[in-house]
Amino acid sequence: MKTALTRLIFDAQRGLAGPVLVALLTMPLPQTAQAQGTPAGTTVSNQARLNYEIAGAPQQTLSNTNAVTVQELINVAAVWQDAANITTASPALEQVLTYRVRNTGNGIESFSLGVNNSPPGSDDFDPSNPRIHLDGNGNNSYDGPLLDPLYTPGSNDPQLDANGNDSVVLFVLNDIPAGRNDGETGDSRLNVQATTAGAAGSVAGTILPGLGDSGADAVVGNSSAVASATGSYQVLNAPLDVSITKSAAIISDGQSCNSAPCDPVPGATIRYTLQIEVSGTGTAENLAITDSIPDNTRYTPSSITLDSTPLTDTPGDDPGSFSGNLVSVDLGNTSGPANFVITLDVTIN
Amino acid sequence: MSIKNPKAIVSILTGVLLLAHQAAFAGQESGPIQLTSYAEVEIIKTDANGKQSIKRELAAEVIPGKDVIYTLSFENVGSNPGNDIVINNPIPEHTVYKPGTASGTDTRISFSIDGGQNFAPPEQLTVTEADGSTRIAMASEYTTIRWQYLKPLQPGDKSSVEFRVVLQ
Repeated sequence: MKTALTRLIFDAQRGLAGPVLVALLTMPLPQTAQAQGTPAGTTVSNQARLNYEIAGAPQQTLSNTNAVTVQELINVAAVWQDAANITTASPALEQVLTYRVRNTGNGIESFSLGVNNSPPGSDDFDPSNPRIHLDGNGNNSYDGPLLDPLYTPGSNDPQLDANGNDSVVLFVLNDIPAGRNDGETGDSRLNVQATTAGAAGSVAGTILPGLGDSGADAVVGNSSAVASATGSYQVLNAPLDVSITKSAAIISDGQSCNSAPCDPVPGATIRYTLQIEVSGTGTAENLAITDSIPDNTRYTPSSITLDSTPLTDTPGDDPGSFSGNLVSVDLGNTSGPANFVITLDVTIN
Repeated sequence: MSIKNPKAIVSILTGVLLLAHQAAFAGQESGPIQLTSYAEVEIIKTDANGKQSIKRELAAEVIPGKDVIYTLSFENVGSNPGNDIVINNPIPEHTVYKPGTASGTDTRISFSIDGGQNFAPPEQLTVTEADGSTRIAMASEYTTIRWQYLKPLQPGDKSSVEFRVVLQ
């Protein structure tokens, strides 16, 4: 049933003390109720004809016309769409699971949605901060909140027509906690329920008088007007990787220029900047950075910095040292992710 | 209007009753033989002891996938026997005939798959496929049911036939 009508009936219920609009009658349901049937509210008519003779004269008569109205069957199904567990780093933000919800009844019905990140079953962690987005542009992939709007219960409940646009694709976005190891899984369950009053969770066959499309009765189908589907994440952290980016700037020409860029004349100072990125998961053991002083330059004593902190050239008293023509910074055992910035200065001969 | 024959009085009274009766059955035609269609569904009733039984109720609303039972009751309200009675009932739209459910005392039952032009028993109803082969028609392909009543219907007598369909 359409949301507006449902709301109308809610209001009517509030306004009347006592009357119970939801009658709990049960009737046997056919097992084929999953299949979509004749649209709710359709009139099925029957009329027969009888031919006969009286005293040799042919005659004909028509029966009355029986009109039977098709009730609204409320049924829903939800399916997790991803072909396999969604691989994710730990931690990670806004990891997307994709679902499809289908109105498997025979009418027009709105559905409310929810997420349970601690469903029954065995997994290793609970995803967090669930948000549901509707596939606004119908391309079956999540394109951000502008194209695929955030779902707010009661505000944009998807309305599905079993005889038309009968399904909708939904995206559940979860955040993944930190500290999870490769191979660990986390489940997230999408819960769906029909919004017609009294339908969700009722036993199959429950009749809801007058709450179906076109004012016909609604009948709860084998799904009990609810559906759920569980999607899973699996942690696959990126392997450990160390990268170094080196850049140079002439910060002084030894005369009048005192900030980059200065001219590369003899006596000018070149500052080298080493950016070290440790990415992925794991520990780089005894990570040490060395850089040789280029030909035709000489090292500026005590010019090593680590993350803006000056280091001495003497080995052993801090991570930095200068020996021969090598600058060394010993970072020790380093776990990813981490970033360092090292600078050192040389003078052009 | 002067009435001389008491039998005619009965006839007129019956006609009045029929008119009253017709008000409840839209579309029903009058005549010496009356045909009435009823639509029913089966429901399971549970008594105080928890014992279940199947009852029929007139159907106003039906859910897809359920059976609808149609009963065609015919009655001779005239004063002469009715002969060669044949009832035709097109299978209602949105429904499919349920095999083996057409019945009727003293009738010969046959089916059509061409909208009532030709009738035959189920085992003689064949469909020609695109490749020229033939097969027995499926019940879902029946379009019309026909009952031929095999004896005269005497004045005051009535009988009935029935069949079931599944609402799609």
